[in-house]
Amino acid sequence: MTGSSDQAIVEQVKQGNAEAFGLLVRKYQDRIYSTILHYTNSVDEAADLAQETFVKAYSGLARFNGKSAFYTWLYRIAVNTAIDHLRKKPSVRVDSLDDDRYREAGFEPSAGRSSDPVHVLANSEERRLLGEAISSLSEKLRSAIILHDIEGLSQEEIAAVLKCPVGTVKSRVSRARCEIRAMLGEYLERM
Amino acid sequence: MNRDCERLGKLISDYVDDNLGDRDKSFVASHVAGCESCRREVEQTRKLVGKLGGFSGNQAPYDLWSGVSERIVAEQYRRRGLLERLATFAARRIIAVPVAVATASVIVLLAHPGKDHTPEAKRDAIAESTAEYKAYMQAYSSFRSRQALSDPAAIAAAAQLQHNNQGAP
Repeated sequence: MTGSSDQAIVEQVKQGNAEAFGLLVRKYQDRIYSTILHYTNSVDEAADLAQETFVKAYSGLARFNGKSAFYTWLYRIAVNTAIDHLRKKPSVRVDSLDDDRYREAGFEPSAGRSSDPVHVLANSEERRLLGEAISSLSEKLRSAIILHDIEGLSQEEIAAVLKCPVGTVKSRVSRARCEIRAMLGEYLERM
Repeated sequence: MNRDCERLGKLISDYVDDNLGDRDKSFVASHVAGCESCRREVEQTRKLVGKLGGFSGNQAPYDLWSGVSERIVAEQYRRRGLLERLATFAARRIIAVPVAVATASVIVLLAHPGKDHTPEAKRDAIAESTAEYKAYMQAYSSFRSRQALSDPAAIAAAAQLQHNNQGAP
């Protein structure tokens, strides 16, 4: 993620070149969508919230002062948007994971076994269980593990996104892993 | 669970992420070599992190940007509409306030006309004020008379005057 080029584009947008914002959207749309998808477990909601994230970013770009990297600022908006959305829902149904998610989630069975229905089913079941386990975590632990273990952000980047110390991020990731391990212990043995 | 297992529990996450210093790393390596339970925990954490890493890479819908740009335009129109409504409202206020003030002034003038300066009006005013003055003077004289009749000093003075008049040749 190149912060300096992002900043240049941000300046262009601030000067009235709205089309330049499209470059930022295209650059980060997959990551933002993917991150939100792990909160909502619904492709439609994730797409809608990803759009909302970018609209919010565009509207608030004047307030972005460049002290942090653009993408950490963007991730922060995405995480807050997703969490706000979940809070507004009457209850988070962890069993609402639809098959679309697995079809559209970019799941690719390993080479040579793609035609094996048992393998495909096992992978699908694996993803469902892991998704449910993540959904059952608290907001803070969920954000930490999604950004760290799934999206691959560094602890420093997550600290900037979540606005908390790096030590807190480290602790949350560790606790989240521990909780998932406790939930899926036996299943993890068989993976 | 002994103290080493407890210590290892705190280090597992960093160990799997390869974020430990040499000393802690060698502690974990030597401990798991002899502790089946901790070795299993390390292996489970490794598998978990590996599986979660495979969750990434979801692709956004191809038309995400077009949706975003539509929303941005809609938002701009909404804001512009809001600004226009505000401007219209302000313009109406700017026109309406002077009109209201002028209307109120006319009503006040009609309800309370100023002094009439025609000669006839002056004459009537003088006549009215003369009649008022005469009525006042009559009332004042009557009051002074009644006051004199009730004043003991005035009564004594009047009696003395009458007596003097009677004694006079």
